[in-house]
Amino acid sequence: MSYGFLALNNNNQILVSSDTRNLHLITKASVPIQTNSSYNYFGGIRSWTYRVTCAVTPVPFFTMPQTTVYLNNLIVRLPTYYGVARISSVNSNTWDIEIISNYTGNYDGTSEYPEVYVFGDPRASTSQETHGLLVYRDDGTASFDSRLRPLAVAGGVSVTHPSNPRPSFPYGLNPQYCGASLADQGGHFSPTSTGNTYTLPSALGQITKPMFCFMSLAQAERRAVYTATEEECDGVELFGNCVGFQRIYTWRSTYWAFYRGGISYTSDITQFNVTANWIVVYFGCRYTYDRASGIIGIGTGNYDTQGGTWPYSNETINLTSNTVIIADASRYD
Amino acid sequence: MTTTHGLQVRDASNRIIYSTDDVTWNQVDYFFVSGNGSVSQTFSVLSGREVLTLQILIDAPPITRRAIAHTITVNGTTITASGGSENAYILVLMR
Repeated sequence: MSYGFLALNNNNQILVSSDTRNLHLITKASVPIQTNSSYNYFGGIRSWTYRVTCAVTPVPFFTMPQTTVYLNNLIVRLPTYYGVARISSVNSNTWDIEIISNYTGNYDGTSEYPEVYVFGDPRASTSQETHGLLVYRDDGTASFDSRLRPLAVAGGVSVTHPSNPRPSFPYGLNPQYCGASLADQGGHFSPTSTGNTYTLPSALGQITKPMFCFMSLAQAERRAVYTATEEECDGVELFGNCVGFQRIYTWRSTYWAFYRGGISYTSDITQFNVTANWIVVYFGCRYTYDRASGIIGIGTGNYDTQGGTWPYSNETINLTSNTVIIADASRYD
Repeated sequence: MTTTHGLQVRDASNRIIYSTDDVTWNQVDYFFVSGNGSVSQTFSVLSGREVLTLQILIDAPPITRRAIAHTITVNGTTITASGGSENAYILVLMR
C-alpha cells in the first residue's frame, strides 16, 4: 500500500484497510416472516425464513437456541443444530434468509427463534452520527465506518460432516401405501451419527451470546425399501399352483429422508466445542401397488399406483470442509 | 487486554467501538457464480494474507436433481469457483 489507510491488530492481521471493506451490522431480525416446516419427528425439523433489507449481499450470523427437556429432575440441553439453508434475493434491497434446525422447543413448552444479525459492507447503511472514524476506498465509497458497528470476530473453525447421518435402521416400516406413522418414520430416520466435534480456544467460553456464520452445504439422502406380497386364488391350489383365477398383490414403499449439514455448540467457562452433524429437512415416501391378475398362468392385466421420490439415493454430497465464524452477539444488541 | 499502543475508535459516549485488540475478517469481494458456471477472480490485496471463502446457496436444493456445491480453490491471489450445479454467492474474506 502506497497510500490509503491500514490498521493491523495485535496479531498483525488486517483490522481496517482502505483496500477492503469491513463487515458492519446492517440490521437484526428477531422474528421470521415464515415458518416453513415444524415437526418434532425425525429428531426435530424446523425451517424459518427471515426477510431483511440490505443494499448489498448480506452475511448472516445467527444465535442457536438449544432444545431443552426435563429429565430426572434436571433440565437437559439436547444437541441442537443450525445452518443457513439459502440466501435469496427478493428484489434489489430485500433478501430472504432461511435457517434450518432440529430445534424442538423448551422443556416448559415455550419456544424461541434464532436471532439473525445481518452484516454487510458499509455501503449498505448510513448513520447520522457525527462522531467516529470513516475510511474510504479509492473510489470514494466507504471501507470502514465505526458508526455502523463493525464486525469483531471471536473465533472460527473449519468443520466437516460425518459421511452418513443414519448408518442403520432400527425396525421395519409399513410396506403398504407409505402407511407408516410420522412417529415411526421419524424414529427410523432420525440422525444417529455422533457428529464431528471441534474444540476451540477456551476463551470463547466467555462469550456472552455466541452467534455463528455457517452456510449449510453438505447434503445426504437415506432411504429404506419395504415390500409385501399376497396371493389370492379363486380356483384350487394344485401342487402349489393356482388352477383358476389368480391375483398377486405386491406393495412396495420406499421411505426416505433428506438431510443437510448443521452445527451445534457446547460451552462453559473452560471450553467451547462446535459439532458438525445432520438435520433432516425433508422426508417422504414413494409407494407402488401392483395387482397382477391371471388365469391358469396367463396374465389378464395389472394395476399399479405410485408417488413421491428424491433424485438420488443413499448418497452424501458436498462433504467438504465448511467454515464457521463465531462472534459475540451481545456486542450488537 | 488493555491497549497501550495501537488504535482505539470510540463513539460519542466514549465507548470503545473498535480497537487493535479486535480480530476481524475483511470482505474482499462477494461474487455470484451460476450453476454449471465458473468464475475466477484475482485480488492483489490477498498477497501474503490469510484468506477465507464461504459459499452460500441461493436456492434450496431441488428434488429433481443433485444440488452440487461449487469447488472453491485459492491459488495465491486467485480465487476460482467452479464445478457446481447451483447458483451461489462466494464470499471472499481476508485478514
